[in-house]
Amino acid sequence: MNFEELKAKIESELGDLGAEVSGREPNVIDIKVDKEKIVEAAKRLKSMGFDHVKAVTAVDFPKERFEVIYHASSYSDLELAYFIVNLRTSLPYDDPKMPTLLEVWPSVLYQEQEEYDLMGILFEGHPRMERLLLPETYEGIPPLRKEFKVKTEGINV
Amino acid sequence: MVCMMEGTMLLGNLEKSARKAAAWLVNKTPIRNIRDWGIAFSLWPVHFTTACCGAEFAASAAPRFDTERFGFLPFIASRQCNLLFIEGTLTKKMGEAAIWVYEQMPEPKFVIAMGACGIDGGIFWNSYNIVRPMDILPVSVFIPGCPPRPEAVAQAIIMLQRKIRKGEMVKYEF
Amino acid sequence: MTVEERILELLIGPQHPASGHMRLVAKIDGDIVVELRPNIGYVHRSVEKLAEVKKYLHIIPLVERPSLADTTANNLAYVMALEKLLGIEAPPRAQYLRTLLAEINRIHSHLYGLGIHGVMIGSSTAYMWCFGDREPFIEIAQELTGARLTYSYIIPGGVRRDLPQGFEDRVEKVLRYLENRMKDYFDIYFNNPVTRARLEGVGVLTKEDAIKLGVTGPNLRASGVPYDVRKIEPYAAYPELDFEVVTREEGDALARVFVRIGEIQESMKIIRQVLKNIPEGPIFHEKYVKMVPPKLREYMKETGEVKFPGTFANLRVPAGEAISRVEGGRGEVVFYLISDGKSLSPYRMRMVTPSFRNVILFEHLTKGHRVADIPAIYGSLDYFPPEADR
Repeated sequence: MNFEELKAKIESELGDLGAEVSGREPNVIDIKVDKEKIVEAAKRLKSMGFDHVKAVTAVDFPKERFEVIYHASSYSDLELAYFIVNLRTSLPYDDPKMPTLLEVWPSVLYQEQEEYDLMGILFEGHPRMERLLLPETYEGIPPLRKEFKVKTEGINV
Repeated sequence: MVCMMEGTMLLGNLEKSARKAAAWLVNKTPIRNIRDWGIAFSLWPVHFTTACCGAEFAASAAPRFDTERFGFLPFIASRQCNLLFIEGTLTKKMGEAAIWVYEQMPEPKFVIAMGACGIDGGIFWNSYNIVRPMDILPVSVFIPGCPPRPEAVAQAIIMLQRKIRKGEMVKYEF
Repeated sequence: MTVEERILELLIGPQHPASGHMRLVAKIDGDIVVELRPNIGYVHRSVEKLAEVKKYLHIIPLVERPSLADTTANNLAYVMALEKLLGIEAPPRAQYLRTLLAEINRIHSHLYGLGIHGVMIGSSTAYMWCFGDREPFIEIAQELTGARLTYSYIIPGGVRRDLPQGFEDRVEKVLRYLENRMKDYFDIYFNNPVTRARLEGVGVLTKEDAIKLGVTGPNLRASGVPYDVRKIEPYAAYPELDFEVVTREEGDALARVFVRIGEIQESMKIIRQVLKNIPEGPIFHEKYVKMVPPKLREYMKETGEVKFPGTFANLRVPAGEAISRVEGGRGEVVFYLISDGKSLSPYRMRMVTPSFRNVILFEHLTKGHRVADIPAIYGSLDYFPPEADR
């Protein structure tokens, strides 16, 4: 299966969910869906053979939106394993909430918890919305957000 | 209880005097030298890996560098050890644990901080989740390097031994 | 007594010989583990946040620190993502040198893992031998790069140094030494009845679960999934090299150990091929070589040491995003880099290390085992907490 074929296949599978499919050669496919439809999209991707998630990334665009990206790929089908699918969705900035994909991909258990911990994104239905990496007593802005500033060196070398 | 009360009453401050005599004797030159020599060659670090320098610490206890020849034997429980080795960065979560471990160790006890992170945070100096070991623990020897080589670990042990044998480190007060 | 009353909560670590830099919260019924929850974060040093305030080149040493025993994988994965953004590719000789260092690193990372596993199940011999035999590999890596563990050898567009003179012979000597030693390892450690009894049938991970939980590295291959990034999406010089993916079907702790040993042997095969087939040529991208002043260019030619061009101080990267993956010693390292094209540091860097993906195994594998099996399972996963916490 080559890049174009897979892209066309994903487009036909997820077309009715309003997914925007784009891609970067040679092996990355981007899928953009609304957060209401992300569970359904994930289920369809899983039935296509994308059986695990490599990473969950949350990106902060201040005052605008959060973007959550699931980098999924396959272990069981080694032909699909060459491709990485980025399933992305946008969340409003003042209320970053989305349904968890734990039911579809159990491999997101710690990844989603980390994004809650460091980025402050609430995954509804996830059983462990608690601190993972930071100390339990931590309070304040989640540290990976852009408004959380760390000290920097003053000299511009 | 009553007996003890009676004993105290009859014999005056015998216990206190005995302690004083022992302290005088232990701090007197020949015995003191033997004591410091003994402590210097039985530095037992507690098995408490705080960060990635643990990889080099493990290598320094392994055959090629073999720090055990300095009487340096990594040991399991904090109550049987007298040396706390801060191996690299101390995060806030780990800092609490380090204080617990240090408090459990019997006197006399020493702290060595390993790596640039142990001195001033190293490459993670502006991280939001670290503490500097010298802020929370009395560190005797710092080892620079990121990570320090096992030879540097061996040198730190020898430096600590010298300090102990000079009589700077151990003070007995009863 | 009801079951609920019988269950005790046992805290293992963070100061415990078999807990590393983390705390394991175990619920036990007698000697049987009912539930085990890893409490990680004891070594969280915020690499991802610091990457957002550091310049692109300064991030190379930063991403190496979390996994100190397996630095090349992180270094290579980060540089590959950066090169994808910059749109450059290293010359063939540099690709071979990258492969060479990655394989040397894989061997000593596996030996590190086996040694720690040995000491966790109470075999000090294994620890002493593995750590002792790891040193020759560190020595040759040091000769190539100048550092024991934190090499920072791979830079955008190439590598920092060329092969030293007479390097092949010394590598050959080291490889032959380890090959001879392997027999002793089997006699004393791997085929030892005690080791077998501690590891065989312990912590079995089925193929379905391995796929479902998204675990990676030797832990995945020990369950019968032949997934290896070096074969799936070949990078560096791997497309031209001949090697096999080591898999086992059993999925228990012993299988994970044997996969590591098999990979050590495959890595030795790869190192020999690399040193035999390495092409002549430059080790740094010519676009950057041109930017170096002529005097330094001559110095580079004479000594084989790369001098950085001035542009590296303030490296500007075109806007875009890139994802790269590399098969490190412990598994697949994934880097996801977003650049906004304006600032000198990445907008967002996501670094997913193999240990972080394998954390999930602790709660999955230990259920129903005895407390004494926890270290045996922990060690067999080759889990490195600083790498998981980042």
